Amino acid sequence: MEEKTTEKVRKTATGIGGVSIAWVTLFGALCGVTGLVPIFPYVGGGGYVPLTTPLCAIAPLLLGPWGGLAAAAVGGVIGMFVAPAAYPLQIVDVFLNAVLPALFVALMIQGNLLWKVTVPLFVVLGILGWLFPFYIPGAAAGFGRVPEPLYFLLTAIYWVPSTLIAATPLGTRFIPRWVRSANRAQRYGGVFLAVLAALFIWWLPWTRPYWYLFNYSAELGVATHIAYSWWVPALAAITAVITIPIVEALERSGLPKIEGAIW
Amino acid sequence: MQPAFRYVHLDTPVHRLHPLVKLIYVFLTLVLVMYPIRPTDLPVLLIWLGLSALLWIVGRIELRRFATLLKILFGTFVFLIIIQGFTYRFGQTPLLVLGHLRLWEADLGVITKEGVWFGVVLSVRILTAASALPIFVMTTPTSAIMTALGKLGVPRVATFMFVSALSFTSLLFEMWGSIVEAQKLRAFDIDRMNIFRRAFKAYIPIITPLILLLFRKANDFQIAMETKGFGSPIPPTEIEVLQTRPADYLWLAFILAVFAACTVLKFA
Repeated sequence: MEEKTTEKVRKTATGIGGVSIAWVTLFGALCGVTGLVPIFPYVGGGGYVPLTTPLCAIAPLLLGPWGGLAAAAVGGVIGMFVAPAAYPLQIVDVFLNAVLPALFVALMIQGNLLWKVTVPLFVVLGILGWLFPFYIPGAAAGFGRVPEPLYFLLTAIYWVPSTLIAATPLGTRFIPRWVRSANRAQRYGGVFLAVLAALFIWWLPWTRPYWYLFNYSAELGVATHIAYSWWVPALAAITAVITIPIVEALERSGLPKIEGAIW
Repeated sequence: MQPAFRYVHLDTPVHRLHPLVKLIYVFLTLVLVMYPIRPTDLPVLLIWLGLSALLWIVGRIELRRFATLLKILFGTFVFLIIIQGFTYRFGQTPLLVLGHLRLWEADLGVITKEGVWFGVVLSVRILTAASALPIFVMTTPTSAIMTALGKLGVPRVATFMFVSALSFTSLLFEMWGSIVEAQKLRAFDIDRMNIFRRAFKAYIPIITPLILLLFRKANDFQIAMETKGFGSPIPPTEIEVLQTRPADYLWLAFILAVFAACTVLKFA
């Protein structure tokens, strides 16, 4: 009679949040390489958002929250090496262009679990976005006075709706369910809303370091808030339109499923 | 789609320089450009830009690369000069009067000399910021970056992912090109689409097959990694053993001295 033997299985470092390092690495490489693909112009010219940003935003949808964040970070660093001219703030730009979109989308699709983190974070970012750079460092660094309460209200466009979405059943119950739904319309709606809320809040930390660097005037600060109020939903729509076919293709691909991903 | 800046194998003092010294230079550039700015800061920025130019020349990086950098940043410069020309709040000398539209602190109908000058100073600031990283990228081999990251205490898994992803970029460029060509054969030519049509329609038939192909390749890559013992608790050997030389200390001292001079000049 054969003797039963036990097999010792050692924990290896070949996975992040349930997704293999190889997947994270290759998706990160894709995010980095697409730093050379301009997808959507800035309002008023001066540059383009690269395809990296929407791909990093959807990374948590495809690879789960931790895998998506890791892939976005790898993608940001690779983008910095592939297109260094597009990353004048170096590691800061890695966070602004790649990690933050992924982080906010990851928080939105995990709204049922993480809303207690998401809501205060959004409020803090909103208030910081209002204060920096026109109040802190403000006049000491040569920044003008912004008209109030207009400026506060314009800033609020970018964080109050996102915070409300995150704090209400829409964010805590429906979006996490819709993004994983088999119903195509619900899935489009869920992904669009998750990305929209994430990109609205992302716009504040994404713009402020450059406003500081470009020494934006108060008038330009006000005008930019108005000009980008249509731009962010358009970028969210583009991102949602790109995401769903990828998710559907992955579902039919027979590839192993990833925990926390929406396919 | 090909990167304008990638490692070029040459034997120059900048190529031989320890990667950590180059990383310090890149970091100090970031610190310098984040100092609050005034229109009188141009000399400070030009000194640091001069240091970058020196490294650029000593590293024998082709001049056309710098032209590429300028081309990429040209739109930003034009934007900054025009916007600051119209909105700079300390502008007093009119260069061009299109009308008068006073809004809070600026007259938006007038381009002022001081505003244009400030726009130029800001453009030099951006050029200074953007010229540092290409020097590091073009003069530092991947193996040296990997070793330097290890010395900085970056986790091995993160370093491995970064270096692997960097080595996969060539494959990705090839795959991207093949898919775009294949779609063109099916009369789906993204080069002929306008910017909005392209944003909404062009990337789905390219990105979707690319991601599927990538994830399939990732499965093979995972098997290869595990076969070669990735994740085992034994510390890996280094491809390139980095040693500090007296020249590294001299360059470091020189870079720190220039940074100190810029800081003193800025705040004096």
